[in-house]
Amino acid sequence: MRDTGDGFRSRRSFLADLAAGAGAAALLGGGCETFDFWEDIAVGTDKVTDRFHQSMAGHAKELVFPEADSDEFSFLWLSDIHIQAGRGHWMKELGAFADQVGARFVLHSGDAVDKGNDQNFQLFTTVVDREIPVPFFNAIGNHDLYSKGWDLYKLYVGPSVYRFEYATCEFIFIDDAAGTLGKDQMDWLEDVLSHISVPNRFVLGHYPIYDGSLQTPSSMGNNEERMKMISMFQKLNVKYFLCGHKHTGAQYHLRHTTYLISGAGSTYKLILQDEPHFYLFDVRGDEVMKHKIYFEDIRS
Amino acid sequence: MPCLDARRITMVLAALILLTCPLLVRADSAKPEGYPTGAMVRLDYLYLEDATQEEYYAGFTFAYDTDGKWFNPRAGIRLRADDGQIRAYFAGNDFIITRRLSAGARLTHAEYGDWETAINSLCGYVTYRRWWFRVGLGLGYAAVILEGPYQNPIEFGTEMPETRFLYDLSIRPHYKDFELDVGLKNFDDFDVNGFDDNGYHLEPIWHVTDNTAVSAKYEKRFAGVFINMINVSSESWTVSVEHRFD
Repeated sequence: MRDTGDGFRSRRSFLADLAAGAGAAALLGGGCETFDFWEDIAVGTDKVTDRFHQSMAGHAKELVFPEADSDEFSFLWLSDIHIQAGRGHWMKELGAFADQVGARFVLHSGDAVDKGNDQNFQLFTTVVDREIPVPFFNAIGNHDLYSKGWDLYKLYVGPSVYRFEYATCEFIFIDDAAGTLGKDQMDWLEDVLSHISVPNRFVLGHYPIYDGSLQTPSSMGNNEERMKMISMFQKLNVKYFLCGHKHTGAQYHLRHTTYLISGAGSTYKLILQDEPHFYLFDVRGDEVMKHKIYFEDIRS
Repeated sequence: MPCLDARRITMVLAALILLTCPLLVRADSAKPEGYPTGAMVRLDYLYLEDATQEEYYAGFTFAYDTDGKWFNPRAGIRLRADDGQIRAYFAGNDFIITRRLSAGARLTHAEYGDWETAINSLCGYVTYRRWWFRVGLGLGYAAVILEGPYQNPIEFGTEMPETRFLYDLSIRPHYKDFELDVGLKNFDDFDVNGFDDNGYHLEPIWHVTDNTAVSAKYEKRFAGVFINMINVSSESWTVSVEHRFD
């Protein structure tokens, strides 16, 4: 069954959520690699902060941001496309739609590839260059980092943390691929948000901050961090927090900020209670409108 | 509405706790041997470091263990050391079911004053002890208070309800006057952590006298455990003194 209108069910059953959580844990764990007990557990690594500092220092592919010529424009947003050699994708349909509606760019909330190996990142780059006629910006996801993917990610895709302004909008990409921001990135995010003058503020990450009444491993877990982000987004007027990871679409309004979770925009990843989709955002000055679009509906 | 499901869980949880009340009147309600009785006070001093803070907290816990199985109340408060701001407080009761099996019910109010939010949690859990091992499992309902007076500890209406799973898998070997509590646990009296916030604790305990113990606890917590993207999310060090009055 498909959602209509804004695309969200107002009621989700406990069991469905439980299945979503369990399914997500299994799905999201796919492609995991072994961890080093001493390094990761006993000593405790803070790789998020390492990636943040490398990104801030410019040790990643330099991104070229588009320049606005009008306060009225459109862009597309989706998540979890999981490009993988030997598997299908929706990029042709997405590119055709972007062209049709005149979208200025496409934003993606992480898991661009299913495993962060050279073959997949090359395929991702090729597919995006070939099919998407406008710039494509990605927030880093956990699957992008599997198979020690960070070294390739920063080479093929770009930094883990960055921002750009376009007309009346500010887009801030954060690295919450591991379910935490770390102190340095949190301080940076607060500082950046405190100095923005444009009215429409979007924060894009991979992990949801809240994923429903049955909390699952698909949501950030540290209470302090989540409370600070929710409060900060309200005080600093963030309109949208856009994320993915859970593969199930959902929407929450918390303290005047809209938290959107996009279901997987993948042809082969299981989506619970939904179908592959993306969003069209129309910006008209201070006003932002969104529309949920199903890939099946635009398939030519 | 999403909160209906969470409220239903809360009601089931509350019913389970209330159903234990008739047991209070059972004649055979004497506590098994090995469990302490009398009043207990515990003072602790905690340093917590995470993505949002590097703070010191002071805590005080009071417990009264009766001779009976079913009425063993406890309560406590934790304050931020620098300005006295409330961080969390709780009230609850322990139920001693058998020599090895116990249960606990807790109402916890965790406050995040800097961000004008709070989390009110209602939790129930059972704990089984055998030899050095301790296994605990439970369920909680957490209401994140985003609107209105967040200081209210019994406000459970929220647009951000959450169900929490509680676990405790620990061992507690002892030698003479020393004990060592080591394990994986995602809750304590003051905090009920989220699903993706897991970690371990290490707590040496020295029983200075029969009634007084001193302990130092180290706890490290991680995000991303379920997706094997393990990254430290917080670290804490706690020094505690506990005294029991006969």
